[in-house]
Amino acid sequence: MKNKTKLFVGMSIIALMFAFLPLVRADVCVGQNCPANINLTIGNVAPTIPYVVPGSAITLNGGTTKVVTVTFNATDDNGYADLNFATAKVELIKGVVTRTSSACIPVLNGTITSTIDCTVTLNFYDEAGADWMVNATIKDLANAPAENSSNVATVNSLDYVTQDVTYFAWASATLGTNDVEANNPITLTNGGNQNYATMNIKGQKAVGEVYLDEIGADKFSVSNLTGQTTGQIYMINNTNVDVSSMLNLNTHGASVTKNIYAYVNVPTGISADTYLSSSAWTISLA
Amino acid sequence: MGLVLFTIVITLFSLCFISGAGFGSSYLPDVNGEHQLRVPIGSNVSYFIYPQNFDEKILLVKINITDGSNLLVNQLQDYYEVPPNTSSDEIKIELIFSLENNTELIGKKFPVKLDVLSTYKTNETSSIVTFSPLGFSKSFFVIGEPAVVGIPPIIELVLVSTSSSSSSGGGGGSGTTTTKKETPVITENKPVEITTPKTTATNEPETASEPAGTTITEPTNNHNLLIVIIIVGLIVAIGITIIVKKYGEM
Repeated sequence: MKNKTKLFVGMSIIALMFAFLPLVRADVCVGQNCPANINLTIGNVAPTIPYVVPGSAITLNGGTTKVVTVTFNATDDNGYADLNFATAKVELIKGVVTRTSSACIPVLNGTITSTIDCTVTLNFYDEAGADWMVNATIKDLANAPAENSSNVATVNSLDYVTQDVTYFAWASATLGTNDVEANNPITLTNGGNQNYATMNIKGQKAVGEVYLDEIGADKFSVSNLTGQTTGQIYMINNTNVDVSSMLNLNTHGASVTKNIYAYVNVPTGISADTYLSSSAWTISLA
Repeated sequence: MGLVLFTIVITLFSLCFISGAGFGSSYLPDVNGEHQLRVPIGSNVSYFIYPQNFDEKILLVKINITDGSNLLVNQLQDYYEVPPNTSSDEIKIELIFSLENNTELIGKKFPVKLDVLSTYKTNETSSIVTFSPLGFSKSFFVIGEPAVVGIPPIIELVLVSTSSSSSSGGGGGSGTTTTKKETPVITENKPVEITTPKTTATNEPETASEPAGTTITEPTNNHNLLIVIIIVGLIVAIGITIIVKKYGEM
């Protein structure tokens, strides 16, 4: 019985010493570089977007689109390869309007950080303002999201107006006839992001090519409607006339147009001739 | 009197005799229906116009400015040539507005009106360019603002850790260890230059990652731990011995 006891005690001590052996081994490595193989099970770390490159003010293109590039950094402590680039997205947001990137591509990869370029298309009628929120997002392969919406972008003002033709023409007119409508209107299209509450038209007299007779500017009138015999606004020779009450481009959008219809009161006592404007009329918007 | 037929053609230099005209310009905030360009007194602020030309012909742009207070300080060209297919902000025309350093100008409003005119260049050899008198008109107010306040003093503390230095015997040194304590140094005020990366992001918070199987430097001292282990081992052994003796003899 005593021998068994001694054996048991001895074995216990030996087992105890072996149990602490690794710690003793570690102590030997104090202050040294000790090789060790480590098996780690690392949990997923959500990515972050620490930085969005501030861009300069955006100037839109008249009547068409504008593609801008927004660049941001995305970081994932699990390594950049854990970023799911297909989920990268940039949105430019102002009020209820959101312009979303069509494509995002990584242009530079570090160990855990990637620089990503996203292209966003803006329309010519998008509002000017210094408060377009830039919202950059991305997810990693575990679907953990990252977002940065700390930046704002500025969209500049865009004044742009097109017209389909640059003339009014009457194929024929009869002496002494009033309110003869021109064969064609002029259609103005607002191709920018500005509103024009004021429109001025400066009319000019027309002069016969052969006999040099004149039709005064005050015989010409304009309207926003076709087939008018009353209510038009009459021109004053070489003078700006405010036609805003019926003609303006006081809004902007995907398709904002305004037709200008012209009329002439053909006077009597002038020769049959071809009449041309003595100089160019002008339309000004403000 | 019989009927007489006329042909009348009225040519409009509508929007300056071109089928499309326009330009981008600096965004100015709208405050109660007034666009405002805020200019700190004693400073210059630039306003930009970006003419656009989507045609195949050269566009000529002229800017007429109505500026009763003569706030525009740079000389504009008679006109600007805009090459074909110029879009967006490829070309910019800078208008620099300035207010003198006079506190009475703070809050004052100065009306400015710009008429931006444009026409196509039709005769390459002509030295005279005739513009239609009007195109777009833009109006805004230059508002005097307080001068830009200088950047507050930057106090740079050079923190020097308390260092021990032993005097050598030369020069009659006492040979004792002395402690020299540096006082904080306040450097002169200097502006802070803030640079913004333009094309590529550079401030990556990159950190090194540790691949598996790497070499690890053990930074802790385990001498005390070894002693504790030995003591605990002995206590446990003695305890087991006592227990076994006590119950083994029963």
